[in-house]
Amino acid sequence: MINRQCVCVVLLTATAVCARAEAPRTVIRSARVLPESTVAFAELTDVKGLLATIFDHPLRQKIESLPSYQQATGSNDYQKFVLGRDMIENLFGMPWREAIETFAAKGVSIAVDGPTRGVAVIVQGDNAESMKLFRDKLLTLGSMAKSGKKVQKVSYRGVDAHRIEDVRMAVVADQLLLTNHSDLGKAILDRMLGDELPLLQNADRFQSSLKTRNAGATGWGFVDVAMIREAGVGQNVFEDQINQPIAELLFGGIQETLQDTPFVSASFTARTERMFLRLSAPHEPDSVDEKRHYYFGADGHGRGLKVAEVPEELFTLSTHRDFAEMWLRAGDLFDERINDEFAKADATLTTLFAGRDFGEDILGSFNPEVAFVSSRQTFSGTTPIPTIKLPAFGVVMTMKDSAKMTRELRRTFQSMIGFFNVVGAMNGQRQLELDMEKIGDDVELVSSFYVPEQDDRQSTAAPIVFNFSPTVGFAGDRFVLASTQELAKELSTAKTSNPNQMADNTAAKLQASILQRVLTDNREQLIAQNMLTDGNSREEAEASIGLLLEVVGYLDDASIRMGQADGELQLDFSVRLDCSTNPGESP
Amino acid sequence: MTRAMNISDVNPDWAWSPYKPSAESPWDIRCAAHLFRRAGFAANRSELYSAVQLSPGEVVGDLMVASREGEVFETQMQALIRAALASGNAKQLSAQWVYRMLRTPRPLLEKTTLFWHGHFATSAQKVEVAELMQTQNDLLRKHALGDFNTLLLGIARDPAMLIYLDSVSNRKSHPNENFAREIMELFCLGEGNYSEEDVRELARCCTGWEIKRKKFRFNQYQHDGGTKTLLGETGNFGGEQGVALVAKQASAPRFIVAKLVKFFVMDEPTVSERLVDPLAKKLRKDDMNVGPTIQRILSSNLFFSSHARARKIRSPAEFAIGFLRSMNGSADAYKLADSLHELGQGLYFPPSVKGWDGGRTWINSSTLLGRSNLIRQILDHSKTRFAKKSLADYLRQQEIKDVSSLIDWIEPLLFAVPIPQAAKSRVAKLVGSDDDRMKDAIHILCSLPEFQLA
Repeated sequence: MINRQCVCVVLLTATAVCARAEAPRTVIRSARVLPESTVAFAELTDVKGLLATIFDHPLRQKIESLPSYQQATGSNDYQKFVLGRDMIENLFGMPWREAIETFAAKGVSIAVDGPTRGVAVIVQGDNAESMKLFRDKLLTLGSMAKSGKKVQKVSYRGVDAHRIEDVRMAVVADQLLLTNHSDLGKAILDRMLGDELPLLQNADRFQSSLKTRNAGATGWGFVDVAMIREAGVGQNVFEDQINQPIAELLFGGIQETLQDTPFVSASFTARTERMFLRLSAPHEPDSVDEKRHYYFGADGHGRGLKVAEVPEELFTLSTHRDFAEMWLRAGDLFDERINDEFAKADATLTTLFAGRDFGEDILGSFNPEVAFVSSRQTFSGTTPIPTIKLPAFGVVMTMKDSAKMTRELRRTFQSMIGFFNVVGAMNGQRQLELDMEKIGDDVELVSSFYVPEQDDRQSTAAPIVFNFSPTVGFAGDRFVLASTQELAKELSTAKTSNPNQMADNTAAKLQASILQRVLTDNREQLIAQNMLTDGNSREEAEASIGLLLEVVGYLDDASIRMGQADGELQLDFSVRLDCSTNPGESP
Repeated sequence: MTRAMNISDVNPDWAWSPYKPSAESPWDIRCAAHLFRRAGFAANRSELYSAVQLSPGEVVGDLMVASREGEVFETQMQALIRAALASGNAKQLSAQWVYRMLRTPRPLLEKTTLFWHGHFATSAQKVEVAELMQTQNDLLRKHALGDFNTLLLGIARDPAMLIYLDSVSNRKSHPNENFAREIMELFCLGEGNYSEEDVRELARCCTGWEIKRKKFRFNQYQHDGGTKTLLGETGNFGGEQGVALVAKQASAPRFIVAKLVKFFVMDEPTVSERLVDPLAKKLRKDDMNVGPTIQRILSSNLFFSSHARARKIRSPAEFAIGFLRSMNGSADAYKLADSLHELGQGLYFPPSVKGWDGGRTWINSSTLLGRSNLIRQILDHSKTRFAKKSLADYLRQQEIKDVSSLIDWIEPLLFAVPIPQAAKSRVAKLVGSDDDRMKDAIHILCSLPEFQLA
């Protein structure tokens, strides 16, 4: 008896623990009225919050005080917009923002149905009366927009449904449904009226995707990739080959994931100081096809190279890409036409590298972690200064056998500069002068400089080539190739991180304040381009470029990250805003 | 004076006397539009109405002089040129010139610069260095309404021209006759006004002229220091003296005046020497200063007579820039420059050392279609604005309510001859939204053969 009681107690306790361990099921109200065949779904839960973030943003007042904004609001197009807005506000009897906040108080959802390919929008308000009022206003507005076109009214299972051209709308309780497809409309109304039919909310893939839904997010979305794939829609997205080497390098891994993943979800957060979007898709590193090992690494967990920040850093991109493997697997990744181009390039580069196989011997001598860095050039204390001031850029990699490769690469760089000089001399172009520098025991730089002619030496409006002083740097196993000696020196002498890999496969960051300075350095060029392409006067072009610079100044940085966590491939986009008093202070 | 009278019967004294408006030949906006089409790239309605408040002579006088507005504009253009040179892209230079033509407050200066660009034709296709092309363009503009002798000598030593004529070195062992021939035949005297011996002697005068590192250089060791006999004069001439001797010939002002009359007054027929002579004498009397001669041409009875009205075919630049300037338009200068190139008038890219033939050669079945497409492209392009407005808003501001009022408005502004009734009827039948109908109407009207005439 005691034993039986003990067993019961244990079972009850275990059940209770299990019940507590199971996460509470997330329920999305609009997903409970949408059919299971929904292939894409997106919701904005906090419309009021989103409007407040955008329209009560501290930067709004600053942007509105800009002369170029004032100029834009004086244009005829803007006046027409204001007229239209006023008309809508008169119709609704309240300011547009208040109208949206009232009628979409509980959120807005949009869905695309697979079989019908219809689109449905569900607006959730406070109560049935306000939604009926909203519907009536929309019908009046629609009728006016369609030059007095008559509204058709039908009844479906006791619900009044209205149609104006292709748009159907109906109100059930506090929900307003708008759709462009009657079958989809009926399917949603059946569910709104309580019929027990298969629901999106209960669909397996939708359920799985819900774990990425963050309660604090401004918006969330789901795409049923498996259903789209099975339907044979957008075949080119799911094809094995991209057939463009640059696109393959950037998106090859994403394409690989889309071929297998059941769904993609998106989570969007808007805050005063940051906009963030995360796309995630279930991803199994073990199932990655061999030909894309160059992208994710053989173990599926390849990571980018960590590099130290350099002064005036504009942009960095760190990633894991095994270029040698990609080069050698070109036959699997690309079609015949691209492979012919690879073969030609291989022959030329092999010649340039003194007969050593470019793919295997040269690219193969580097580890797959790589970083690209770009920085603003200051030209402080030096002349000639070019009229167009380009940012410097460089690539950092690590060598597998530095003792051997340092000599090889140094010699190849010197040969290439000699080759450029010969070709350049035949075309009357400027010549490059070589220089070598040792910094401490570890760092060695081989630099080249364009030799200024007499007239150019003190010039502050020199030709564009004076942006470049191609340099290679060697620091232990680190190899740097940069467009300027200054950047090469920074990247070569920076302290090595330990570990030298970052946490993600790919991460990129753009510093807006530096971008603003780069643009300011080239303000005259931008004004000239604006005058020529837009036909603006000098004053109009100055205002337009001034606005561009101001707007860039309101950004802090923009970043992209691609990594893996919890069995997902995650792609994050983030934009941070500078809400300080003097955003992006101009130099 | 009516067109019925043959041009060969025209009295030269009457022809070049100042035009005095009369009941038969009034100074009205059609007349002013004719002047602005020829002396520039057309004018908008308000400029035309302002012009008719003045006398024709006063308007031409104003066209000749630089204004304060011109100085400010020139400063802005220098910034555009610097930007174009920084890119090293001749196409950007071409776009910059289109922009200048569209907005210049000195249209006559620009039109005359274009004349000299065709006269001293040099193409960036061969020269390749944008900086040199612009240096030449600056030279043309600087002397466009000034001293021809200075301009000729400048061009003779201009690096872009010498590169274009394969004359980067002229050595005493092989004097460059090609360069010397072009100076006499194309730039100054015309065929039949020099001998082959003169060509050889001028080539000897210019020996030692070289282009090194994109600059003109005189290499005294390669100069032929011997005695030369050039155009009847003998001496130990250098290049400068040789070029001056060519410009001193009696045929030089006649050659230049004939080209100016063809450019500003009529494509056909070629004017007789009898008509050219009074102006040639004036040009010589003015020490080859072309400004007063151009002023005389543009103020003359002949210029405002039926012999000149609608007697020219619009060049692509006159066609496109004129259309936009007439309607206060602004557009993407790159696209316009490309279109001009496609229609046969690439700025900085003339087809040969002879420049553009002009006249009827501008028109063939392909360019006629291209011109029509260009107007449509301008009208439909998102960057095109008319007085900073959309076309619909601009026409509304001009109080144009329908197609028929559009025709009445556009005819004196854009057309050198009346629009045929059949075309008006066709346009009046257009249907569609107001905006589209207006665009279609302008497109049809500007595709008419009559619109090709200046």
